[in-house]
Amino acid sequence: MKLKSMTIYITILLVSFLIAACSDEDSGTGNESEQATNTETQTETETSIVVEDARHEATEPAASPALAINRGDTVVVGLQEPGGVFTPYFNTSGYDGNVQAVMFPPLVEINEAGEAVPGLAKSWDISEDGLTYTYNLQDDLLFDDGTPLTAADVAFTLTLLHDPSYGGGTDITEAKIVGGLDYKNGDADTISGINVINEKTIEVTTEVVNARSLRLIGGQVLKKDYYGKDYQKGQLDYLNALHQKPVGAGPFRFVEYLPGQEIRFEANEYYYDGKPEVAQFIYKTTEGDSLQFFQTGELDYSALSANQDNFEFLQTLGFADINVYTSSAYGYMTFNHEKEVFKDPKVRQAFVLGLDRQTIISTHYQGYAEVANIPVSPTSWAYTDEIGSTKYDPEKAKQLLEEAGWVEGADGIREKDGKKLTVYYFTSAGGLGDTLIPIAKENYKAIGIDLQVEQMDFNALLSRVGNGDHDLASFSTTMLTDPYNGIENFHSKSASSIIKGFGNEEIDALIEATIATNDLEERTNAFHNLYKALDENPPVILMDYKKVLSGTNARVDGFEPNGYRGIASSLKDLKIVDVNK
Amino acid sequence: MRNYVLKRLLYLIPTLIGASMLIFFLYSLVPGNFVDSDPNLTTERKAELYALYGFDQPDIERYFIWIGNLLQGDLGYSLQFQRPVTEVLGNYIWSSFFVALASLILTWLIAVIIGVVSATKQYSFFDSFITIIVFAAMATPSFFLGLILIKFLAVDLGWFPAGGMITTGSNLTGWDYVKDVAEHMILPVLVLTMLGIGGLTRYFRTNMLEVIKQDFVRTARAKGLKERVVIYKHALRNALLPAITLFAFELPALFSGAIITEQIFNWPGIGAIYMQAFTVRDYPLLMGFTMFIALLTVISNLLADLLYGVADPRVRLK
Amino acid sequence: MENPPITIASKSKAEKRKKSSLWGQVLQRFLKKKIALVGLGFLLFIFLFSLIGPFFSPYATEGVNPTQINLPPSSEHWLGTDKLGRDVLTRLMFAGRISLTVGVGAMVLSVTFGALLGILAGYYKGIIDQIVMRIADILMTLPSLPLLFIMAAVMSEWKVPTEQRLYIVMLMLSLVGWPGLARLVRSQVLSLRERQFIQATDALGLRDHRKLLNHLLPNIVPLLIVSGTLSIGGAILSESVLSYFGLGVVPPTASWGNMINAANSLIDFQKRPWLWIPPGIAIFLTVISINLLGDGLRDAIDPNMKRR
Repeated sequence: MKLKSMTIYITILLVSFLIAACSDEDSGTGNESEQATNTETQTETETSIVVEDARHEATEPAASPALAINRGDTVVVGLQEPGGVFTPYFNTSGYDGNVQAVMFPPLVEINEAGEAVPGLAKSWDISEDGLTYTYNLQDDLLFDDGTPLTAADVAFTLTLLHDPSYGGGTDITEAKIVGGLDYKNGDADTISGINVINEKTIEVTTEVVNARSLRLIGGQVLKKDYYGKDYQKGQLDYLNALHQKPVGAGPFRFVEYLPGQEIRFEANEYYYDGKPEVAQFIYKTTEGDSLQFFQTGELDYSALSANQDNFEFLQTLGFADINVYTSSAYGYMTFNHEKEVFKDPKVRQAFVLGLDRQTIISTHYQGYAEVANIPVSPTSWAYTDEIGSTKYDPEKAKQLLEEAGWVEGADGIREKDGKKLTVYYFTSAGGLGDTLIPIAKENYKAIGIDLQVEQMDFNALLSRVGNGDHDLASFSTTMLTDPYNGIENFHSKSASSIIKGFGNEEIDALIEATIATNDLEERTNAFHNLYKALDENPPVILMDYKKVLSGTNARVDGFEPNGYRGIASSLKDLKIVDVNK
Repeated sequence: MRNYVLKRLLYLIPTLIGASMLIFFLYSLVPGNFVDSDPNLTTERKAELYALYGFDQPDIERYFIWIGNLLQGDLGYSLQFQRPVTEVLGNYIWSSFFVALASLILTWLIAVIIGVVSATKQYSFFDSFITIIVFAAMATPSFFLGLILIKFLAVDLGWFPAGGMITTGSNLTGWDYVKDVAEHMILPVLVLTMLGIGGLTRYFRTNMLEVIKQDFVRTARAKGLKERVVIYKHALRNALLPAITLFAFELPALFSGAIITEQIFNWPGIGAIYMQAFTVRDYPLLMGFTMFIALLTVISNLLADLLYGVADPRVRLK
Repeated sequence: MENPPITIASKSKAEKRKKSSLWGQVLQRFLKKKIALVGLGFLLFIFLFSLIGPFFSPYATEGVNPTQINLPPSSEHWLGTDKLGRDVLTRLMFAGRISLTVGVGAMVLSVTFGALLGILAGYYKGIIDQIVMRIADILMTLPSLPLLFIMAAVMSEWKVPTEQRLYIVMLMLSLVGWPGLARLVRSQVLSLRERQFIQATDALGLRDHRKLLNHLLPNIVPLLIVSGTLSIGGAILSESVLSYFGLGVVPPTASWGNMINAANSLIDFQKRPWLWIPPGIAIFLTVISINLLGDGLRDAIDPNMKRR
């Protein structure tokens, strides 16, 4: 029940679709003139043309393939092969998170603006000192086996996450629940900060104010009688037997997992918000290009990497309802702050200014992404276009490098103390890299930097960056449910293996200030102060805010994907419509 | 003969030990591991997980633990699937097997027919034509062939499903199920057959050409036997016999899965799973699978040698 | 040489020239193979196309031009442009250099490893044979694609400048390629050892290295030429597969393998055939030509087959 885990689930949803479609990401894009119908000039950067978030209804719903129509009230969505661990908090594969999201709604949901909204909890109160959280559950909550879901189940879930032998990826201790560590590391039998008031109310006391605790604690709920039947402190192995027999409280109930093929769900008649109209929901395992499955009607919904090509592709199909929205993630290129070169903020600024991000982004995405100016997406309440910049200024970059003591050598490459300014850039194959590499090489050469490129698979990339082999490396954040997730790694005490050795006390203090209150306005100000400081002392080269493009077969209504939750929160509203009307 | 088999079996042991060492230490050289693939883990959590999975032990120690378990038939526990490796392999290996088997049968049938015909009509138009076709199939990258077939036959023409093993959401049983799976199998089997057919056809052709020029075939002809009888009864049989050993070499391929083809056609086979396991560095699964294939390879080599002795008694086994 | 008269003719000619007699015969037999000559001719064309072609091109290979994106073939860009506005024809030529270099380089490396170890194993037998052949056996038990994945990941640790990444690809392919060759060479050497002329060198008391270099090696050369030629085609195909998985040559360096990857996108496949058809045809025809050439060489060189 932690924001981070939530972020992961949600992120995964988007990422999976991106990955599922990433093979087309390197496909070219259309002419700019072709996009005139759905573009608008953005005021901030006069050269960029960015597509607006919009919905486009299918022009010819009746063109929907017979394969899809004949499926009736079964809706199919593509997903990469999951690991098969369908118990929340215990999965290692991100795609398991998508499967779980169908069956396990959290207490506190998040809407398209990144704000907390009711989920299994009807409402909540935060005490004046910001330390105590009281969650009030929805009326008549039932698990999908028909048994009641109560505050005791929530308490059990929170306790389980504090178990000393818990091996999953969720770190609940970050919420600092009173007595949590005594349970985890000591011999306490219960957690004193968790207090079940009655069947429908639970109160949780924490030790420090943390704006993220509300959703950290208000996560998914595990059924106590089921997942906790054989629970003894320090013994969680019995759960392995239940990983493929999940019992949740979501709109759909788990039916069957066919490895390598599909995961099947059926409508849950006990769902608190009413049984969904769609009788069956299926995640179909797809690898690589999912366009063809959408075209042939095998998939009812497909999120594609956003570019003009894919947009036109969906448009020509005729039967696709198209949705363009902005992701809550941002892309960046990290510096290796442990390298002597990057100790000087001027050098880092030069690397930012000396890279023609605008050309790279508009060439690659053709309007379906914009250059990032601060480490948070425009979808967030913390976003502002008044801080940071997206400028390309090679002259300024040269000047900054001179000031930092890097002077041009005989071969045009800068030198300092006899060392050449050669930097190694690591990236994974495909995607933006294909466009970025040739342009970046030229850009940097022009200001006297020799850029060497190495491509590797993502795991090797993480491992080598973790070892500090890189100078520069490309990454994208996960979906950012809270703007804090976009900057927490810049803290000098952050454990992130991607951004190591950055930060100082001043920045740390600014980062901590962003979660030290539950007041949105105060938090916004805190974030803006931080963004200003980061602009002077860039921890990374900010790259892009991407759009997400999704197509829905016109026979299905109700998919409302957003940049934070993907499709998970709209599954309950799915409907089959007659395409011939 | 028995001594020979025993000797060969003994020889397997050092080879397998060598293979196990190579597999283990090669994989341990690969950068990245399962825990590292989550960049959000805190240092403490990472250390906890390292200890949990035993990544903090020295390589040598882990090798002996692994090999010890291997000897007891325990391939380990898949990190990604959170289940025993044997169970994961069991889940996926059969779908790979059926595709491989179907394409194996098809490949041999076609190769024998083409080989015989083009050998009996050496340098004819048919022979040259087939030679070109066979060379063409051998000159196309496998992924390219798969992509072209999907895009023309499945997406544009809609003749076959574009991928997967069953129609999504279908609850077919019995015959209907078999038919459904067979329909989805057509394209992957076609690709594998096209890729495999080249070498084998050439092999049969050469073999047939050799056999036809031998004395016993001439004798048969001299006896006044019909050409058909000469070719199919005398020549083909003798050309096929040595080829039987080749069959043994195909054994590992039946289970190893076709990584590229399965990935392109979304086939739920072991090859596709291998790729996925590699991206998340699920070493127990990767090592278990590779070791399994190494074992099959070694056994099939032995089998091929023994069959060779049976097929051609002139080869004396020492 | 199907009909006796020619054989006799070539023999009589061969007798006139003494030392080059064997190779003279080979050449004559080879020249009779029309289809192999076509292969050779096309290969020469591809070599020239890749080597000299770029000098006639007005476009630079890495020149990114955002205003000229994804143009179909025209009189300015004969094969159109790609998503970065680069001229496809020019890239195809540069890619040819890379792909052919990888193919030939991988062949040279695996033939060198394979022949050297095979000869040593076959000639000295005993412990050396055991060691070499065990290693070859062990390497051959591992499926080749996974082995390539592992090597690609391991070798990504070595800091290799971008432009030299293709040598890594060569090395990887040759490490997978040598065991089969070593086995082939070894069995050839084993059978040669029993022949009279090698027995004679024993009687003459020649030194090992002379025996190996002057007497054994020349007799293996035909085998090496044939399997070497054929392995170039295999290496070019393998490079394209590695590129498919993003483990080949690093962009912006072009190879036919990473160019053909455009076919991986449904949209490029349907809308922009000029991106993937040219490299597809280039790989296809080059590999066919190599195989035809190798086949012709085999028929021309291998006297055993002729005798039957």
